Amino acid sequence: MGLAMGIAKWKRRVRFWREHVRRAGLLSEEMESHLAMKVADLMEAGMTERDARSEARRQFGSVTRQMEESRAVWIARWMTDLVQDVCFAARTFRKQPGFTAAAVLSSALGIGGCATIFGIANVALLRPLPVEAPSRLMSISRSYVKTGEAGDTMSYPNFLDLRPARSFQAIAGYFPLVAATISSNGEPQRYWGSLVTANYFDAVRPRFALGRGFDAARDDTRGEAPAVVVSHNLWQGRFGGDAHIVGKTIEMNKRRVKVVGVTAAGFRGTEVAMVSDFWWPMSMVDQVSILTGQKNSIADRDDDWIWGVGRLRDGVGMKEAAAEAEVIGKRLAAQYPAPNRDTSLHVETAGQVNAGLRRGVEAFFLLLMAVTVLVLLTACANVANLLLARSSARQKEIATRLAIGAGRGRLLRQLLTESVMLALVGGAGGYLLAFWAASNIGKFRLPFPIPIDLTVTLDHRVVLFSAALAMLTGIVFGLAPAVRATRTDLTGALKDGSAQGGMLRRFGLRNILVVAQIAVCMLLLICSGLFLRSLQASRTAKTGMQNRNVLYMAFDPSLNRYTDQQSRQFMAELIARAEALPGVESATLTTNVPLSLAHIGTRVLPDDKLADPAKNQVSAELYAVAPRFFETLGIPMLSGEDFRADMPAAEDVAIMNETLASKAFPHQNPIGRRVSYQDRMVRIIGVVATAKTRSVGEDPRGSFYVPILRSQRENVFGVTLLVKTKGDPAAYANAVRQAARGLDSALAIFDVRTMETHLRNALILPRMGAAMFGLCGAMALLISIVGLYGVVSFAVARRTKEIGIRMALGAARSQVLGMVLRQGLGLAGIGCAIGLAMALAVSRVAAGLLYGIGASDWVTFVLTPLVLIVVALVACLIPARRAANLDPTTALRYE
Amino acid sequence: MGKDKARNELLPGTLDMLVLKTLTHGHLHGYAIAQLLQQISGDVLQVEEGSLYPALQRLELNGWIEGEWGVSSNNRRARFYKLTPGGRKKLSSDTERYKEMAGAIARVIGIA
Repeated sequence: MGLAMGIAKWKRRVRFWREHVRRAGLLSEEMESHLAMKVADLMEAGMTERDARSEARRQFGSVTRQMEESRAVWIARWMTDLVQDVCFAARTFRKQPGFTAAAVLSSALGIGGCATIFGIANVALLRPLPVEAPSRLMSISRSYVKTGEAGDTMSYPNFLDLRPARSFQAIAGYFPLVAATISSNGEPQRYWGSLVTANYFDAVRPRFALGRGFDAARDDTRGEAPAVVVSHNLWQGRFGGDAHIVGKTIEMNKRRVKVVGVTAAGFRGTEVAMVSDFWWPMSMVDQVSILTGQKNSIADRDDDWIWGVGRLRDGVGMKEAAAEAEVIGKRLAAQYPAPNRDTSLHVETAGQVNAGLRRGVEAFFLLLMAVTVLVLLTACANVANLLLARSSARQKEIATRLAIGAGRGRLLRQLLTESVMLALVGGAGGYLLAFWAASNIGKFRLPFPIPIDLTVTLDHRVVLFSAALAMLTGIVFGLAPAVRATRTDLTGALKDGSAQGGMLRRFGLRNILVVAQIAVCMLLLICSGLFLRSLQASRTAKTGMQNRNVLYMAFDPSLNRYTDQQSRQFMAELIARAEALPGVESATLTTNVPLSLAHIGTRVLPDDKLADPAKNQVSAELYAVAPRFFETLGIPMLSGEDFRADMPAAEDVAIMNETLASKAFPHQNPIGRRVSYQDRMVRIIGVVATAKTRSVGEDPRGSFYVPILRSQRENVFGVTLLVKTKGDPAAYANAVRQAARGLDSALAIFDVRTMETHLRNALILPRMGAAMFGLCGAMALLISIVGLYGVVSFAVARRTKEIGIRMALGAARSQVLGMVLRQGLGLAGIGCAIGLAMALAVSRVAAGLLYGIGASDWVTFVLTPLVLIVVALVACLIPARRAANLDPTTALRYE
Repeated sequence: MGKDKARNELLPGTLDMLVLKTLTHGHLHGYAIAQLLQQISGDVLQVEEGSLYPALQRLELNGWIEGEWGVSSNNRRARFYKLTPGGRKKLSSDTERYKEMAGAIARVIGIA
């Protein structure tokens, strides 16, 4: 059959289907007319009207059946069957709201968990960049030949040597951690953006809402007229979607910058999670404070800071491009061995998690997925169990239908329709759950100030995933109960519903499912318990900082193009103003906020080991701080003295913590000694107690403190003002903010927070772990309790007669109660034991993630099973009491 | 299900062919088709008359016949069917196949 004919037939089919009501009317008219003609003919041949009518009908056959068959021509039979099944299922669901709610809730929880994780993985790992032909866009980074790691930055001269690579139409460079203050249109605020080579948009090719990208011929020239492309986000949020913004100038870092384009919604750079809201061309490299250190970031081959992104030439594959990049990398290593030793260049599809992190991120998602799949399995086991229970209760109905000639296939289909419907409704619920979860994940705040966007948006892929998962679970977990239900022994079932296997069989499918559920539930609850205990331990953990009533306020004077002199003056004055506020006990500054998860590192070399730097350098966390830093945070001074504002500027001084001191000067007094730090000799004037620096759970780390007011180095994280207050520090937020504004109204102030908030954010990992396992564990608990309750109460219902007989023969109520309880708790006990064994094995692996408690924390391992057993007891008690309160006479007369 | 027997006397699929064939005589309504089938076959083919109608629907869906409302000789509203070009092609290919099949069966049974 030709395609055209096929299409014509489908068109007719659709038309028939649409008109089937009208056609049915016409067809019956047609058949009426047939019969009338037949009757007329028969009467003409001499029959009486009555005989003619019955003869005509006899020869015609059943009008109803012909109607049915014609209808089957118009609408495929499976469709009518489906509609029938769905209606029937809906009716039975309405009649059993308890069962329906339990089944839907179970699958919603299970599918919701999986959909959430899939949604996150979708954003992090799967979703392509919103650019033209995203699969042709490659990211190019520096790799290490020895370890095989990749994803590092390269130097600008290296990048220029890479650029002519023949596999690419265009290679652009970018640096995605540029902070800038925008002071036009409202309060000055800091935004994050990228510094890019002028051909960036030609290579990446996002869509533009307005305007265009940069002028490749001009915008790479250092010092050319400043230009900016802004994101849709910034355009809407800051400039109210001004349709005429292109061509206007805005104030960024107190400089007039011309807006040349607005990218379309969705595009925020080529990094995953790290988002850009504006793009500056390379001509503005001198505006980026982090790149204007001691090195010349454009000319120095040992200053690595840029990543490459390139669009493949048509017909060139990723492998060829990677091979060419590797050749270039080798050539660079040979030509400039010092900065390029053992490094090469690595090519991979852009828009993925950085190659250096990917393995970890994938492992993380696999772990999350494994946990949620466990929850899903318990949920499915529940649904299967409920279906099994229900199908046994419906044995009579099913047997009757089989007896009057319903096909087994037809019944199977009907039962599967029911389970798939339950799962689909559950899937819809699960999607809503994922939606809720995703919006909450976006609320997690990272404790360090880099532009990471954790917002998870769910797209059509997540909808499809939920629907497919629902279909799959509906079919897979509906199949066994359906097959079992239709394999009824007809005569037995019709005689008496309880004739078949009245007891709970010891290894029945239902019991195994319940045991498995409880085991999984136990595992998840113990994991969440461990995380909660770890969270609790880290909350009360000693941070080495004794003060809690401290307010943090971050700002970045370098963004307002302060000279070093101005910056120093500004900071000194800010401290003075803050300390002058009533209720403020002390104020100080730091470039590095303790417990931010991030860190700034440095190396120091003790004065007695200067001869062999490579061997004797000690690495440390670097803090550039103002006087009274230790006093403000409550870090005890062990010996020596703090920095003072009136110290002679000529001398370089520093303070160490105890840990660093014992490493750099073991068994010696470090006070008065010197260390070499950043090619200068500095004198140690004090030693302080060791405080936690990156995370609460860390082992003691060495820290090195230098005075901020004289330090030449500022960093991308800006400067944070720490203010110790009397009473609640949050109450001082406005006054401190006003003090800073009074000094410079164009200064962007960001991240005003109390120490409590900061510390809570610092616990993001244990918090997320506890939240996830806690949520999953709670779901699993709910699910398996519903399951246990269902199985036990079903068993009681099935054994009504038996229990009646026992009681009639003299069994006491307490005996009946005990019998039912023993049965339910037996299942729970076996599940608990298996779960405990699994949890012990898993917690050994998870030990690395836990802080402050052992992997086999006895509190968790004792409390959790207790809780589970108590809850199981309650779940069994309800049906057990029902059994014990049976009236033997009613029970025996039952059915 | 005794009623099915009458229908089963026809070889499966032949009803469609027979209906198409009768329509080569011109535009006919359902009753006329039934009568014609009976007359031509000399009352041998006992087709349950009603079973014509699903067959007509099927043929129409396949685009082999077209139906339109008209008035019968004795002034009743009736639906008249006519062959489409596709229907003619279908008839001739079905006839070919049937001839082959019948010949083959005849040879096997030994009456040819």
